[in-house]
Amino acid sequence: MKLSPAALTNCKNFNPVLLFIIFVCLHPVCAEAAEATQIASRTDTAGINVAAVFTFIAFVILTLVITVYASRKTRSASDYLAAGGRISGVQNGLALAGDFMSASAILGSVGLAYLHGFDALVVTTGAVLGIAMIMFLIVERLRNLGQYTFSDVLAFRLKQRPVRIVAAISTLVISLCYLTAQMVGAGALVEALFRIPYHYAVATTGCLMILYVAFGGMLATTWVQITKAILLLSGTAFLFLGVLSMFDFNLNTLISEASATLDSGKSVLTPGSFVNDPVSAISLSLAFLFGPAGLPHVLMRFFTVPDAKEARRSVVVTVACVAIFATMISITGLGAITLLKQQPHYLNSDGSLIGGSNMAAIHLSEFIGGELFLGFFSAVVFATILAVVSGLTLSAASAVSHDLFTHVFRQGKSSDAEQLKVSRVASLVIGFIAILLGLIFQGQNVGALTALVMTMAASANFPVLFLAMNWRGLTTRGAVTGCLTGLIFALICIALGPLVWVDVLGFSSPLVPFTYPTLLTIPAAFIMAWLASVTDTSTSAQLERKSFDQQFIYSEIGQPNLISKT
Amino acid sequence: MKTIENPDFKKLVKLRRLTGWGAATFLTLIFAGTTAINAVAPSLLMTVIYPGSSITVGFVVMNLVSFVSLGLTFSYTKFANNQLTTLEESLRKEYMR
Repeated sequence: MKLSPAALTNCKNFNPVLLFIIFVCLHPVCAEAAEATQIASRTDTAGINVAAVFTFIAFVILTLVITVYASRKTRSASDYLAAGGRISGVQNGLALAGDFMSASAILGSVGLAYLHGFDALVVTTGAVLGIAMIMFLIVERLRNLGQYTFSDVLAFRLKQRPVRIVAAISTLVISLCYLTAQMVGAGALVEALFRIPYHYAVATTGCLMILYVAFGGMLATTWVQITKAILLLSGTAFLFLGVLSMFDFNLNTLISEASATLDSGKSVLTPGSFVNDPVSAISLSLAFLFGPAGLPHVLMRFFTVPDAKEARRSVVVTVACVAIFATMISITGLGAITLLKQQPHYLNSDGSLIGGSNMAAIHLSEFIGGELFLGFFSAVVFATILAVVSGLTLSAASAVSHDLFTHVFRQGKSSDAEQLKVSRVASLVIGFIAILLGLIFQGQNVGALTALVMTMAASANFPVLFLAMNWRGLTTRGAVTGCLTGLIFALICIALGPLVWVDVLGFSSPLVPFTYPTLLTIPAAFIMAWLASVTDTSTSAQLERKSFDQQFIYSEIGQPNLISKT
Repeated sequence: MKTIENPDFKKLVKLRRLTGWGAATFLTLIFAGTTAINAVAPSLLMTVIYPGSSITVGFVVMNLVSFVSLGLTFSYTKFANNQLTTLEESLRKEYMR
């Protein structure tokens, strides 16, 4: 094969480090794929789904092409952290939808519907509403006041150093907890689906994630997320239509047959098996409604669009995608009850699903579309994890480079090139930490981490962000106290709650009865932020209160200097 | 602070609060309300939508809530991108003068 002169020039410009990492991270998968092909040629009972391996490799090649393209377009810190503010509302909406349609959303929600029927709807509906709440409470002011991270909003009139340090700590803790949960999930899933050893699976995920983020920055992360969102929506739609076709596209038949399958004789739409007391119900609602508004990697996406108008558009696209996705997966989960319970080869001897209820979507994909669709669907689920961890790594890297390096250590005096360099190094380091955490937590129950992430986001970030934008009285002391209260209290409540105290430590009953203790932690963060602010009589606090008018004007009409730049 | 006293600015703030916060309150109430009913009086949500059907009120309500939130975000965006953006732009021009 001969290369054109242009291609040869491109090859010369190609970063050797990029090439090395591509080789390192693709090596285990390629080796497995080659091995799979050899095994498949020797025997018909190969353990690997070749369709899954090849779909996954196609996805990786496509996303690497995107990364190479994005790395050439990334010249400044603004390009790296916010894609230069050039992403359109529709593109950002799809990428945001990709952030919400995680592997836990597809596998967990179908599994939840399979196990608890109606109650899965409470969770999926909550996720849709949480995104809508971002629109009504946060998005316009966030876009008008911030540049790269949500701490820009806090630092607008409050003291830079303390609020940025606290916001960076919160971002890093949330991102690393979420990354650990995703890496452990990715390792287990890839190990099961591709028959790759756990440590190879975690390393492959981590290396690809580092590649996307370190070289392509926000542009690559956004396009990887868009690609995955389209693939996941298409795959879920195929699965949903396949399930409906089994019941002649009659929802009534689907529900009545699923209910008839249950041993209890109850309807699958009987509520209360997952959430059965009002206090837990409200606590869970608060986590879903306000958690997304505090997730750093979600908030960061609103800085990639040129203005508040496009930011609003992106939320509509996200809500549309996630609402359709939520409806499809909850009905698919109900259909799975009938379809899978009639297939003994998907069941253990006690009647439970092989691999647990989270495997319902995977088993269903094989039942509906055979080996080929199982392969495609499995690869899409892995692509989903890959895209989500990339967004998380970028948000953690931005906290290090923008908040800590530029504004805390250099007091706003670092050059654009320095910030870009630190961002890339930070994403490399965070990526390797994520791989390490994924390996350390192998086989651990990481369910608590997901609950912890939503609780911390809703309790540490959302209250101070909301107060900073809407309450004149908030001072630096109040913001720091509120954020730390939310963060630490969430950590304590989760540790004393059912997920850690009972499931991990083995005690008979939890000291805090809620899985999502947001009913305690959100009010605590608000109260402490208020208390610390009203008791702050310092001169700097008075100045901060006076600066609210200027911030309020900018939050409503946009900052003229930032608007004119874009 | 001239802008803050500007009637157009006051109108912008009032419109945004009325629509945005109104929608947020509405969504919080219907979701928290439905989840509380789910926990306290599940039989209410188990009522079938017509005799002989398997589809329940709860199933319809939950799916409706998702699509109501889509309708609200769509309507708000349409309203804000037309009405509020015009106000924002004129205020920004005046601010820069």
